[in-house]
Amino acid sequence: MTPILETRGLVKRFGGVAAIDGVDFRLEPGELRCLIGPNGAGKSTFFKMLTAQYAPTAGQILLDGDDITDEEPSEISRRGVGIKNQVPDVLDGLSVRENIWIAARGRHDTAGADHAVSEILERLNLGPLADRVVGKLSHGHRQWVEFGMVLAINPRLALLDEPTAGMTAEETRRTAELIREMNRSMAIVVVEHDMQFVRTIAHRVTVFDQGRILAEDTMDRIQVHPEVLRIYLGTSGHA
Amino acid sequence: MFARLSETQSVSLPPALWWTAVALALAAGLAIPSFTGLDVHLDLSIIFIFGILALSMGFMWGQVGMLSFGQTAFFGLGGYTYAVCSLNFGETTSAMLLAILLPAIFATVLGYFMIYGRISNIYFTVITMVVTIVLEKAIRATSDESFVIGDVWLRGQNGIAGLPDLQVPWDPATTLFVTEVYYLAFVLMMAVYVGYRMLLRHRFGRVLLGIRENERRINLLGYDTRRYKLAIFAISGAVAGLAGGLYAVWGNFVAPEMMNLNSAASVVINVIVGGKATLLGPLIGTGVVQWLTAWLGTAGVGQVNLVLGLVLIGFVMLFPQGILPMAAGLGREALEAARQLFRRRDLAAAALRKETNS
Ligand SMILES: Nc1ncnc2c1ncn2[C@@H]1O[C@H](COP(=O)(O)OP(=O)(O)OP(=O)(O)O)[C@@H](O)[C@H]1O
Ligand SMILES: [Mg+2]
Repeated sequence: MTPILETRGLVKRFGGVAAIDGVDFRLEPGELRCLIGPNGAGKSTFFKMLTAQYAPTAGQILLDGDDITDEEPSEISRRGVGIKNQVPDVLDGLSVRENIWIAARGRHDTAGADHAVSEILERLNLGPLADRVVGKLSHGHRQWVEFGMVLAINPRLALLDEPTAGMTAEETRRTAELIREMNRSMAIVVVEHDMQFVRTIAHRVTVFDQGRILAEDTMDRIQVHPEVLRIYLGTSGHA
Repeated sequence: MFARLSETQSVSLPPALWWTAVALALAAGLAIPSFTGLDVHLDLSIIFIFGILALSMGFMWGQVGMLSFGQTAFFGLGGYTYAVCSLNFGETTSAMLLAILLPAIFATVLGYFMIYGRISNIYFTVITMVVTIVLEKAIRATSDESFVIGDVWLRGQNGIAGLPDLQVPWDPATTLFVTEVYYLAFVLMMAVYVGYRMLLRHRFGRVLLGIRENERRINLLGYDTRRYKLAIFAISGAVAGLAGGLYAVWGNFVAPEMMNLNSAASVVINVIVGGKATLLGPLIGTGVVQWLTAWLGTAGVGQVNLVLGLVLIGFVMLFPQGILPMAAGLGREALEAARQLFRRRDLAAAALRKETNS
């Protein structure tokens, strides 16, 4: 089966630092994968390269087997890739409704967009906030708005960078539910630090460290993987 | 401080009320000539024409976040297009249409290189400013009699005078006089205002607002923002060209000053004074500055530009959002204060009732 997403020898250098240092990654259609790794491992950089927010220094990115390495962010989006960035990346001066409408209108006519917006507002419990200006909402609510935008473009591959950061325990639980539900119609890669959360949603986990893939396995085996334990717990236990 | 849509929304009216306001404004504008003299028609016409120019700049700046300092390049190009074509053709309808079309094409080409060349916002501003100055200098350099387009000599810094009056398209024997030019300028200003406003209600305009807020996010949603920015730059070039054509008709005259730094800055100042968050702001700002300039002139202050400059600096420091949002803010506060007052009175009355009941 052709993977929905594949990278070959992907490298990103910022000056002398290789934030991504030769990543070969494969994701099967419909898969739900978690990406974990210590701070600065390159997870967000990886996502930004997949969506052309950063141009690779070297390597290739393939979507459904098509080389998209040199495409524009808008083209990649129209191929069906949606991203929620780590820092809430929304339209702060516009209302919740307008944020989601603009996203939906790119894939639907006006009536379809209106319909999609009310559906998404309902699904995310954002109805009461629909006419509020997004910039004045809490961090958690802005995350939901960005979720709403990703849902509105109905992607085939969703990239979610730390979706539960700043959320309450209840919101985190709902997010896990939402991600599993989304996974029925799309492949998803989730970057998360919350191991409990990772365990509840993912089958396979990829561990990044210093711009490389350190390990890739089921959660149970990742938890006892010696290399993973070393980077998370420190070699001599001073972490 | 940059005005956000939150402010825009609070200033703008619900659609039904807005349409009523537009209809009332239209009626008022059309009624004014019947009880004023030609001098008033002339003065108001030029405010409408500069208002159209300010709108072309203010829309891009306030709604899209693109600060074009050189809308006067398209304004001047529109004026000179009207001049050269009307004198050559002996016919004004096509001259006026070309005064819109040519600046639009020029804006498309210029915009293509700037926007697809991925220059930063600040360079966009600088380049547009440089372009208007270069055009001005180029026109100034045409005083030699060899600079002729068709039968028309460009005349360098002297400008081209004696331009034909605008003909009625279906009846070329009839030309527009002062009061008819007033009607034309007024109706076109209203049309441009309504047009821009309608734009904001649809996908194209919403995406433009989104670009102002967060261009990267709009790209990630699948919109190629370059196309949207180029389109609005071309449209605004056309609108500025229209204003230039009207200016040529209004004074039967064009000159390189239409494009100089002074004129370019005036457009920006008009927008700042009125406030860029709304579409009404640039129009109000143009009216206020124009009126202030005229008043300072008649008041015999002498250094009109200096005083005007000081007044404007004071304005910007006192009302950084422009006059209109400031006025709307005051109105809102007054309303809120009144509401509080009534609520307190109701509460007091209720407490009193409760006390007397028990
Ligand atoms: N725009 C940039 N310019 C320079 N260096 C960068 C840039 N973006 C990221 N880096 C560097 O690249 C490395 C990887 O950063 P990245 O944000 O991808 O890590 P991460 O795995 O997402 O970390 P976290 O868990 O903290 O979000 C870091 O060393 C970071 O400092
Ligand atoms: Mg990160």
